[in-house]
Amino acid sequence: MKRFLQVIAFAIAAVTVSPAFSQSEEVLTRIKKNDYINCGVHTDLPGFSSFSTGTWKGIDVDMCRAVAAAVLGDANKVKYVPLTISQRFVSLQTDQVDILSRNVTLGFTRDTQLGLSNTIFNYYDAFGFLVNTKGKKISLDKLNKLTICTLTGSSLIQPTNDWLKTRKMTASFVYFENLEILIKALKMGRCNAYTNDISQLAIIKKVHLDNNFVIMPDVIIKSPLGPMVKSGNEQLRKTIAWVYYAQVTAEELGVNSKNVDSMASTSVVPDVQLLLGNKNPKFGSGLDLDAKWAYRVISQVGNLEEVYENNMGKNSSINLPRGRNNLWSNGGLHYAPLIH
Amino acid sequence: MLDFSFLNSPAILTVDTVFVNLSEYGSTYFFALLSGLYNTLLLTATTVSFSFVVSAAIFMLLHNNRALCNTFSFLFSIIKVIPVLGVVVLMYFGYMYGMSVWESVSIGGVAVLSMAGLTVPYFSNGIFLQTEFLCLFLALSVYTIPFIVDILMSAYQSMPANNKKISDTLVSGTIKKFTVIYFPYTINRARSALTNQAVNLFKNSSLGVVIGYSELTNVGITTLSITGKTIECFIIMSLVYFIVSLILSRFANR
Repeated sequence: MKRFLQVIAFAIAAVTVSPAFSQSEEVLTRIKKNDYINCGVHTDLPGFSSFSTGTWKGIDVDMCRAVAAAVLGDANKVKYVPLTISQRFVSLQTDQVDILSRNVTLGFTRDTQLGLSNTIFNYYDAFGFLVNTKGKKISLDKLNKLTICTLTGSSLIQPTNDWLKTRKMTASFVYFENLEILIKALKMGRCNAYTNDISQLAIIKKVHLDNNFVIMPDVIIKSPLGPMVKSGNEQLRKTIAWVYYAQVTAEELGVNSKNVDSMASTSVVPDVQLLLGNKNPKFGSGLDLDAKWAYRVISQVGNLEEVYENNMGKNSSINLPRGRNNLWSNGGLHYAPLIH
Repeated sequence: MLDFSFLNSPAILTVDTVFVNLSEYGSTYFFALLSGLYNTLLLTATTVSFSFVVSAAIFMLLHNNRALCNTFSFLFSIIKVIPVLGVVVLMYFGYMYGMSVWESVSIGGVAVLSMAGLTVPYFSNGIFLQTEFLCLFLALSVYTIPFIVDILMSAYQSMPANNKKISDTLVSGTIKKFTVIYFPYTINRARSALTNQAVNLFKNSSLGVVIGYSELTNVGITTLSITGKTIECFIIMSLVYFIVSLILSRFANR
């Protein structure tokens, strides 16, 4: 028995002496030294990050590409690290990735307790239901006995449960780690609803399901998505934020990847000339970049509209209306500070 | 750097348990993980007992029947070459497919199988076992039984021929000979290998995460994803598996 206890004590000691997370150089310095960005992405989520025909595509992927274009001069200087749910935060904490751009729902706990920081929201999502109506017309209030399939690790299960409770509905949850098996279970009728971000529901419906499955108009709770960085990297955080702001501003000014060169030479709008680096040779010095950083972001990756439409919207197979992901001036939520 | 204080904060997930409702006692992550452990242990205990009883019965049929033995060894060798994950997923899809065809199946009027699971309506509140539990239970049993029968048969065959001859003279009747001499002898010989099988099964129960059974690994991964305490959660999970496995294997070395 004594020996048995010794073994246990040793094991506890061995695992609790953990490697302290090294407080090393600024991540941005490391990115410049490596000359590429390690970008943590979702393993396979069409629209956000998916690997097909030899390249990575998606909104999350374009975030890293845009930062690479601004900082390193080339949007292709990105190494993608596909991460599962349990890997995502640890790989950022342990410096295996520089930017975590993996469809992460941003919130208070994740911003304050993980040694990681929110940056900006590049996608405004919301939590919703995908329901198997079996061909009938159905409203959510009528479904009082729900079996809900969901992915392990969604932070929005409790809000969903509360939402159902206030409507006097009961539900049992089945948690899957693997999306493929979840979809099979949903198709075979193990559960009559699937709950997740509405963008993901739309993608899954598009790719895997028939018209018996309907996305309910009810929105349970907001789900702001965006990239995260390790805390204490103010410079990188600012760079990511301003890369996004530049894309927003470009859309506001009507600059996109196709007309960027002609706009640069012919436009008389002062803000366009400022954004594209022709007006002020020191534009970008505050970010430790050259004046042409925003020009590269727009010419190599595109403005906000292009990023959306190419990956989620009209030019993609998902074809999801832009809705709240439009510019503030078009009834959406994307907004940016002045570029002066 | 390790911070386990999240265990005391309110859990943002619901874990269903059968027989005992642990969430009545508290709703922190600690109780969520405890419910997960409870589910793991419940699955392990039921699967181990069930597969042992079935294996013992099969062993009884096989121990003096060579023809039957050959048939079974062929069947078993098929099951044994499928990875355990494959058995679990096949069982799950197979069950769901069956239920989508028949909707509900009554087992002798006592229990009802449906897409949601197994319902036994005759107890005070009725017993309800969800599909995921049922499928994992069946799959792990199907996977484990061939190994247990193998262990029992090899222990039986290790019995010296002389002992068998002596037992023939001491006890008459095949069944009595089996229950009084062969079976106790076999169990005694096979105990450590059987315990290893139980430890294996206990660890294999973590495959529940694949088909959505809320056992320890599933709850652990959900917790770490919500709280971001990845290393802490894996430490807790591996320590629990480690300690329970150690306790189980104590039986083997006694």
